Amino acid sequence: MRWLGALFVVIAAVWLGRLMARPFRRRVQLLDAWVKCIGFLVPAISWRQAALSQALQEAANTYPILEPHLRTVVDLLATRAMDIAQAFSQSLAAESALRPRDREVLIDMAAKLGSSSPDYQKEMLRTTELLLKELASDARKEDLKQARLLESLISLSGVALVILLL
Amino acid sequence: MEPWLYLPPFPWRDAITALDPGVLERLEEIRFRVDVPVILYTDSSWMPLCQQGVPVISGAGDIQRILSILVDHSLYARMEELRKGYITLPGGHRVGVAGRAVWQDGRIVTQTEITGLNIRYAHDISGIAAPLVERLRQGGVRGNSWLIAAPPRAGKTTLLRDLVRWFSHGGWRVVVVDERCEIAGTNGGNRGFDLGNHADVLQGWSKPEGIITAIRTLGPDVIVVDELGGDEDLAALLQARHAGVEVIGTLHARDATAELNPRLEQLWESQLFDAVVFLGRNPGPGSVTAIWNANGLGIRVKRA
Repeated sequence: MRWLGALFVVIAAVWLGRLMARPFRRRVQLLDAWVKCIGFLVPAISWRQAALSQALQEAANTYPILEPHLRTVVDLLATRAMDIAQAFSQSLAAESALRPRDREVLIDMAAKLGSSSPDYQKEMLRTTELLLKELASDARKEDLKQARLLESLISLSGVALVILLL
Repeated sequence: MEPWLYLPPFPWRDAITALDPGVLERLEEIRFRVDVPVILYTDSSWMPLCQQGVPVISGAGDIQRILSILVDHSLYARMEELRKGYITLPGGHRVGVAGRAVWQDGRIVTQTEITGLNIRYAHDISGIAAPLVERLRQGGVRGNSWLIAAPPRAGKTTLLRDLVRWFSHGGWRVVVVDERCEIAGTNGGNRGFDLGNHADVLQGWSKPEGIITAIRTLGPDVIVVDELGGDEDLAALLQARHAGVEVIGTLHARDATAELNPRLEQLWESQLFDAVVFLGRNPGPGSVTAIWNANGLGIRVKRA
């Protein structure tokens, strides 16, 4: 029974560690997905010249991790009550994994999205893509390191607790 | 089709929907100009758009926002229209855009610093073509190639749309060359205004290219075009007439004084049309002020 309890404590500690590290991992996943999403939007906007709502809808279907954000943006735009930067801002407000700088880059992009010629849109999206790649690269270095550290610390705390109790 | 009232975004939409139904019924245009009150134009007067009794003023940022929302945040897909000074909305409603021209390689490529928007509501009135056709027949007009000449906001496109419907309902194969997407009001490949079962729409085509394509591929009995302009339009229309196709077009013209309008004179002398119908704004848009038959004789017009 004692061993079973010990096993339970270790499993709980590992699970807690993963749970605590999730926002760090999620930020990396989100930034990677945004980079891909922008790569998807470039041809949709600059070559195909699809309506922005349609392009965002297609991106939502392609990148499941961004689906809630992009669908919220599409829904908000459909109300014709707010501009695209406001819609992005509102949609990203619910995402706790992103840092203020990540949000700033995305909202900056949104403020310029759809408002100029296809060539300018392409340039603007490429610039945003580069900025997000940098943020994603930093996130991979820093956040993943922190995520692994947090996981290890909490898991080891669980093991230490078990040793003490036994 | 989206009700036109919902075209402007909030808070302007609220102010418009709060208007008296009598005003709404007669509303023709909503004009946004930087830092002055938004003005509503009806067929006979104008008034400022008010919210709780206070005139609504739109700033430069508001105008950019309204334009962005009107084009579904996809201005990049409307560059060609913007270059020509207008945007056509679903339902055939037209937004005139006033801004600073951006030149590149000796041509205007787009507009920036937008200072004014003019939302013109596209009217769809059924049953106005039939009395005109009857009047033309009574006046001895046998052919079906007609020119509708009128000043702006006199109901040319509305009449043209009903003529398309009249011919289409009569089993004529009609091709509408809808360069500005106003006549048919199509939206995203869906049907816009009812144009009957025998009408095809070439949407966004230039008039000369559309007319030639229609003759070659769509086998029309009648080709309908709006706002005739350059010599290329005239050449394409002549080709259609030589191919045995009837043509109906519109032209901006102040009144029935051909000498004062070289384009009207040119079209008339080309003998393209069997009749010219002049419209005026008095007593209301769509009022027929004069009709010429092929011999250049006026057909008596009964004043409303």
